Amino acid sequence: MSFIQYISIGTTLIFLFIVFRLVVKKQLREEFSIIWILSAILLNIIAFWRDSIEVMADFFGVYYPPSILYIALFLLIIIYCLHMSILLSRQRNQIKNLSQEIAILNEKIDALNLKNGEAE
Amino acid sequence: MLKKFVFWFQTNYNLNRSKVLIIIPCYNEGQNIVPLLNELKPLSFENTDFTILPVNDQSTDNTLALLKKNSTNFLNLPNNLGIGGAVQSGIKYAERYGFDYAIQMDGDGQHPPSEVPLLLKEALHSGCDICLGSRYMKWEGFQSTAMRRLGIRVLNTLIRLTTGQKIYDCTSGYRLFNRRAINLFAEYYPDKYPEPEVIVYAKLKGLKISEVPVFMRDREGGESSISGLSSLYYMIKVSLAIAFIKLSFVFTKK
Repeated sequence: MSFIQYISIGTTLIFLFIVFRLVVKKQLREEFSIIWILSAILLNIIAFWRDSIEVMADFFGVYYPPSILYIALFLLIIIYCLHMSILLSRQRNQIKNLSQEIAILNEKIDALNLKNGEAE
Repeated sequence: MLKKFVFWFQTNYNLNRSKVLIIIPCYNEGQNIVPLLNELKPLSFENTDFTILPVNDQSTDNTLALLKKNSTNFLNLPNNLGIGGAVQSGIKYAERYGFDYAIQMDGDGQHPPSEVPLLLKEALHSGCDICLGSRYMKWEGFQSTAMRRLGIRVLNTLIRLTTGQKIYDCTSGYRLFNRRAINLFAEYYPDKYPEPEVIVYAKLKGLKISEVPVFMRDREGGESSISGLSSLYYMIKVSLAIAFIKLSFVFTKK
């Protein structure tokens, strides 16, 4: 194994460790951690087995093997960003509904307090 | 004789009286809100009870303090939701408390409360679900700049092309919703720059829309939210929104 392989294996393992740590400390939800764990494992495999890129490039008929890695990662990141945008839109809608609900309930509380003659 | 009795009974015992909610979305309207509320106080219409509901959308000025002092009921949103979210919270309020009509009116004093009966009359006579107050049916009162009128024209045309509904002033924020429209918009109401989008959505959902000429004033204080570059953004955003709504109906209808 070459030096660069040790470095990449080391980095992906550190990355994996960080992801696990975040999940354990409840700073990252499990459902979001899956994609990060999978990609870390994938990168680890590529780091261990260097020729995997060439095998894939041969299979797809790609002339320059590393480019297949770039395009795969690029696509993965784009898809993940889209997924995040969808989640954000959904959450924005949920926040909107909650805010409206809070406003309406607060108004009701004020009205009830006024009816019962309680000062604020 | 019987008719007379029924009339007397109805007027005295609050039967058949319709409840109307006036929704006033407010964002930093400290200069305008108190005169507007004072102007709304003497508002009356046959067989109608008015409830005035300003919606404070996280104003950074003294709007909230003024509302606490001057208004019996108002909504105070915990987050800044933009005009769409503010109006929708009013609509949800109307849905929950069984109001027959909801009227949306800007908090900047551009929409004179004296025109409210016009909207109500139109709704009662034509049976429309949404009634728009339009500046451009009669050329009276505040008419805005030429550039803006052009933009509004373009959007009016776009709405006519997508829905077949002829509209004179699609950006007017002075509008009336009946029970059916209230139920529809409690479910979904666009977030940003909702006015033209709402018309398209309602029309495609099969609601009846009509328009009455109203008199509008120039704003008394504060600044328009749409100027300069943001007007370009406004046009793009609204056109896209209309196109998307049309598309979604094309796909779901078949």
